[in-house]
Amino acid sequence: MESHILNQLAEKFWEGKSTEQEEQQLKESLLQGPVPPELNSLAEYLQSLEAYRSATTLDQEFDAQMLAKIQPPAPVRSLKSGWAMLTKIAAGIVLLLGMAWGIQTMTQPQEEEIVSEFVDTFEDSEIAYQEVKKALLIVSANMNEGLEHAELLGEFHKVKSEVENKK
Amino acid sequence: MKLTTILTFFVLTVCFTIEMVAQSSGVDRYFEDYKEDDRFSLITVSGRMFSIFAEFDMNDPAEKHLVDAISKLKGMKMLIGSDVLEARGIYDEIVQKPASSMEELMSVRDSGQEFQFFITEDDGTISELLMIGYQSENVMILSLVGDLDLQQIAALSQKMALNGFEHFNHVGQ
Repeated sequence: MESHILNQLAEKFWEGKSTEQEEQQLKESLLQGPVPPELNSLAEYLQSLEAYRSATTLDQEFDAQMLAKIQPPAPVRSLKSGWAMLTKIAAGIVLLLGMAWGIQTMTQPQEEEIVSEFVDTFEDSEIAYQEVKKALLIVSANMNEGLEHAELLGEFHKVKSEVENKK
Repeated sequence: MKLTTILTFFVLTVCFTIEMVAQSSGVDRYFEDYKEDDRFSLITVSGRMFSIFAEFDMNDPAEKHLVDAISKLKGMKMLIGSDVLEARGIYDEIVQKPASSMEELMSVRDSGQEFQFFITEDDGTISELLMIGYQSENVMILSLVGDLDLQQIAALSQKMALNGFEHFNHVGQ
C-alpha cells in the first residue's frame, strides 16, 4: 500500500475516525509490511496488541478439551451403572443365603428341643422306670381293649359276610 | 423396588411357616396350662433316662420285655389329673387338639371312660404315640416320642397283671 495512504489511515486511526474496514486495512498492511519509518511506532503497537490478543483468546481446541473434562465419556457411565446393578444383585443373594442359613439353624435346634424338652422329673432311674412302667401299662391295657373291640368287629364282619354268602 | 417386594414377601412367608410349625403340636399347650394346677401331676422322662433303662439287668422275662419295648424311646411326657370334676370336659377339649400331623389310631369308649390314641407315622415307623383319656374324675395325656413298636406295647399288659386306670391314683406318688 502506498505510504501516503497508510499515513492517511494512520491519521484517521489516531483521531478515532477510521471505519472498521479502514482499521483492518491499516492493521494488515502494517503487520505484513513494508512499514514506512514514520509509522514504525504504530506498527509496533499493533504487533504487541495482536500478540496479546492471540495469547488471551481461547481457541476451539480449548472448548473440546474442557468439554471432555466436564462430561465423562458415555461408556464409562454405563459401566458404573452395571457395577451398581451387580452390587444390588450380590446383596440380594447374600441376604437370601443368610436367610436360608437362619431358617436352617432355627429348624435344626427345634428337633433337639423336642428331645431336650423332656427334662427328667425323677433323678432316680429306678423311680422313673416304675413311673414309665405304670404309664405304659395303662396305655397297653387300653390299647388291648381297643384291639379286642376291633377284633370283635372283625369277627362280626366275618360272620356277617359268611351269613350273606349262604343266602 | 421389585427386589424389595420379593424379599418382603419371602420374609413374611418364612415367618408364617415358622409360626405354623410352632403351633402344630396343639396338645403341648395343655401340658403347660395344667402343670401349675395342684390337681395335676406332670411327669417327664428324658431320652437319656430311657437309655439308662436299657442297661438294666432284668431277670423277669416280663420286665425284660418292657425294657425292650422302651429302649428306643426318646422321651415321655405325662399329665395326670385326679379329682378333676370337669375331667370329661377337659378330655373333650384336648382330644380335638392333637397336632395336624397326627392321625387317630383308635378310640376306646366305655361307661364313664374314654380313651383316644393318636400316632405320628413316617415311612411305616411310628415316631410318636399320644394317648388322651378320662375315667370318672381322672384325666390323662400321655405322649411317647421315639421308635415305637405298638405290638410290643400291647403285649405288656398281657405279661404284667395290671389293668387300665388301676394305678392311676398312684402315678407320680
